[in-house]
Amino acid sequence: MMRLLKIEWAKLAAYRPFWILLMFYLAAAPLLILFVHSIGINIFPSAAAEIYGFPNGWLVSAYMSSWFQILLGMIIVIFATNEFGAKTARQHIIDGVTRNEFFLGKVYMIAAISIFSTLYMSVIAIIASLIYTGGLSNIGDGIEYVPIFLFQTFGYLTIALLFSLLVRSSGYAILIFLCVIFAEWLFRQFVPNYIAGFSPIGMIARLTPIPFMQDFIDGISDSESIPYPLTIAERFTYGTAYIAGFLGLAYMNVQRKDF
Amino acid sequence: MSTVLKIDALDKSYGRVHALKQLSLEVNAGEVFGFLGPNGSGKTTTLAILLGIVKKDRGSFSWFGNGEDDANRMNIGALLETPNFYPYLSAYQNLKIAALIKKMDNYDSAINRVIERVGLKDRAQDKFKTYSLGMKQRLAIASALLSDPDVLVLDEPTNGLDPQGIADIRDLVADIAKDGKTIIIASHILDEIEKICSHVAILRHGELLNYGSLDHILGGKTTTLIASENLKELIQAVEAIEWATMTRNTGKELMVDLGNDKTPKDLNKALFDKGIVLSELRNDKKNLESIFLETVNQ
Repeated sequence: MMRLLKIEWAKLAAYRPFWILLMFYLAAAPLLILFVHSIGINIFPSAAAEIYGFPNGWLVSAYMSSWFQILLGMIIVIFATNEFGAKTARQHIIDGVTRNEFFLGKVYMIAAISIFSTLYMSVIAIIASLIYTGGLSNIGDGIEYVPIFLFQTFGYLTIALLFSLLVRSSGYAILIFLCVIFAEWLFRQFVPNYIAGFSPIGMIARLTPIPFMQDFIDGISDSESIPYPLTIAERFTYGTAYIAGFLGLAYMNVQRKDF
Repeated sequence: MSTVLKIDALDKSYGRVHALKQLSLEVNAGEVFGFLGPNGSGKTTTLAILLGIVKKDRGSFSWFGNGEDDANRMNIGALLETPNFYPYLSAYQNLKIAALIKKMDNYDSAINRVIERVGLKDRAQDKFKTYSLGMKQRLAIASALLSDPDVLVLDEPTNGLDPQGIADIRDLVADIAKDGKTIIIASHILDEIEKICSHVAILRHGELLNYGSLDHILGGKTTTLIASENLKELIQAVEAIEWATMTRNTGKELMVDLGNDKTPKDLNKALFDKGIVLSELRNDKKNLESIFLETVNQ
């Protein structure tokens, strides 16, 4: 595993688009928190401690960070498709990488990026709590959103990897990646919620629901009229099945297609 | 002599195109094996299957007697079609990735050794995208040599190079061959192949037409070269002689194969009888190019 990660890192470390997109990603979530805070604090002056303090802090940070997972997805798409554009993927196979190793290298890479992203999200949550509440009380409450965010990020990046391996061209892969996200969102608008709730990207996206909406949802008796008919545990279970399916498709593609 | 590569009835189609038809051959240790054939003859497809990047339809192959195991490629250095490296990385960084793939522990000295061998020492820290085509080809050969493999596979290593670049690569390959490595090389440049190969295989439309040692292929065969003031008349006269076959027209002279028991003297007499006076008549040993053209044009 370490050898494959070293190989991926040796390629990624000097790749300028990676650093540019990563910088955007690192800046985006804190800026959004600052932006939301600067607006909200004028309307609800005493709300900052409620929003950014724990237990809500974990979900708030995870939800806001999840908006920018698309940037990480683009890193994966650009990086993975470049391997085919520059024919370095075929050279790696020639040099002795097995098709299994090629696939695993990419999976390890998205796992590593997901872990990094989750750690960063956690640091943001802790810093926001320190700044806006002056402490870390109740830090253990709501911490389940940390592994949920990790799972969610890994899920998004798995979809990005699948499109990269299927299409093998960065322009088309990004276009299809964005089109599928939009098409699925559109699909969800026109079908009943009990069907829309099972759409793969929506399923993964709603692992981190809009903060403070749960009380509102719990207060509504007709779950068909709300966008979150599934529990987090159910989403996790179905999401796992989807991710396994995406990885399975990506694996079959690597095994069967010529390089 | 041990068998390094054994190919048995290898077959591959791309849709309706039958790219490789039941190819079978063997390459032994220490041979410099040339794959010859016009464009689309199946050379690159064969090498791509042997190197694991294209899936075969039928047949089998075995490297080092270990079958088709992926691990075999760890002992093979290869350049297929074009040099494939990360344009934003330096030669050293690209070779470091190749070394990690090859599971080399102390790669630093190996990288410096191969970079020096291919004459890129002064440019080792420059990005690949700044290299000329000749330098890129040399880096690809450096990468192939990195783990000191037993077998080198080079597909058109002189493609797109100027005469000096071709000479540099030819000298480099000849130098590597002296180390006793098995080299499998596909090329259009028959003169180069003849200079460095010990064995050749000739392919056309995915079919193996001829294969064996270079001495066996050339077989001490001779050809007759003739010229006269009016080449057009000469061609017509040769075509009218039943036992003479024109194999090549260089624009200045004709290469003619004679039937059994016929000598250049007989040809001179037959042409003289048709009113042709030859300005040149000589016997020459057949080279690989003439054998190749004869074989693929049959």
